[in-house]
Amino acid sequence: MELFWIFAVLGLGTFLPRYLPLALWGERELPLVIRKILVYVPVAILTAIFVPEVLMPEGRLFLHWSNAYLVGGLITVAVMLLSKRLLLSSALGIVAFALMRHFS
Amino acid sequence: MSQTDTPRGQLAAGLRTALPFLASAFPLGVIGGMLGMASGLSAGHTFALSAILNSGTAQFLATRLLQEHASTTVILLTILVLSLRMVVYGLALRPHARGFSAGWRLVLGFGLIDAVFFAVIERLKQPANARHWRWFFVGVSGAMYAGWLLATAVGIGLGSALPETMLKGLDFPLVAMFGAMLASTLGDRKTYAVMAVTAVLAVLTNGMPYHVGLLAAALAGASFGAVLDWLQQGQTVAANVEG
Repeated sequence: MELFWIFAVLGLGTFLPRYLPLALWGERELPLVIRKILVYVPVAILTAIFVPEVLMPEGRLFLHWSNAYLVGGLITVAVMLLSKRLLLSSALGIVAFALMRHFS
Repeated sequence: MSQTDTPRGQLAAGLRTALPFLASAFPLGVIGGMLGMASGLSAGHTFALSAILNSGTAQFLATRLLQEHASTTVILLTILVLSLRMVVYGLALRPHARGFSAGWRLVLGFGLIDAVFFAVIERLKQPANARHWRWFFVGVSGAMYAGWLLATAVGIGLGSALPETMLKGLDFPLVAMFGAMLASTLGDRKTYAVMAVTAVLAVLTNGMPYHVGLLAAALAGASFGAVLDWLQQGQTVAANVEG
């Protein structure tokens, strides 16, 4: 029974932060400053997720060609910039990562 | 592109878009199910947690904290901090949800996860999709949700059958997807500048607990982009006045 309540609380804790910004304040428009910042939110959040994952996979900086996360990540980004094809670029990055893992 | 902006067309496009994301997230979902079992939760509870949260990060964290017998307050606060990023996603989708009913907002809120947000924001760049994009959202998030539940079930079935060394590196497919999405958001010089600033800040703040650094770095980087816009506008105005 205790677990039930923990789950309920956790469910609301993940749901409300996603739901309330969409639902509160009716149709009112957001302040201009916030709208200006939101333009750059996708690139900024993706950078903040991706860069530490590849530069510090174990929690500390690992700037070396033997870092499979870094090599695989760089290949993915480079292929994506050149080809604009999501599946192709992530597949090549994953293959490079797997090869490095296999032969290290 | 002459994509038909009908509910059915958007739903189909959403399902198609979800496939690569689904394939990348699947291994993590399996690990999530295995970790749930390893933490002492029953199969039913592990599955329920996955179904209620619909958030991989929150699920991983919750299982770990439950295993460590952390108090509910600590778990909840952790999850709230983790979900701050979702607040930003919700705010960004808000202008596009004009006139949506309360029910639709519930659907958008529950289905909103990283991959879904970026897929939808990319889709909304084309004004031709504006009318029925909610069905695209249903397609992407519905497929992701179903796939994640399936992955959880597979993980529960495997239990702790696989040794931990085999699980290392299974997070990379999703990392690669985020890298590819990052590359697709890069355009003019300002986006590169935002990326550079955010990258440095994110590495510097990586030690902060519960991904607080991630959010702080991202907000600082995005604000930097807005400042660049503002400076550029100022220059254009000045040039016009002088000319």
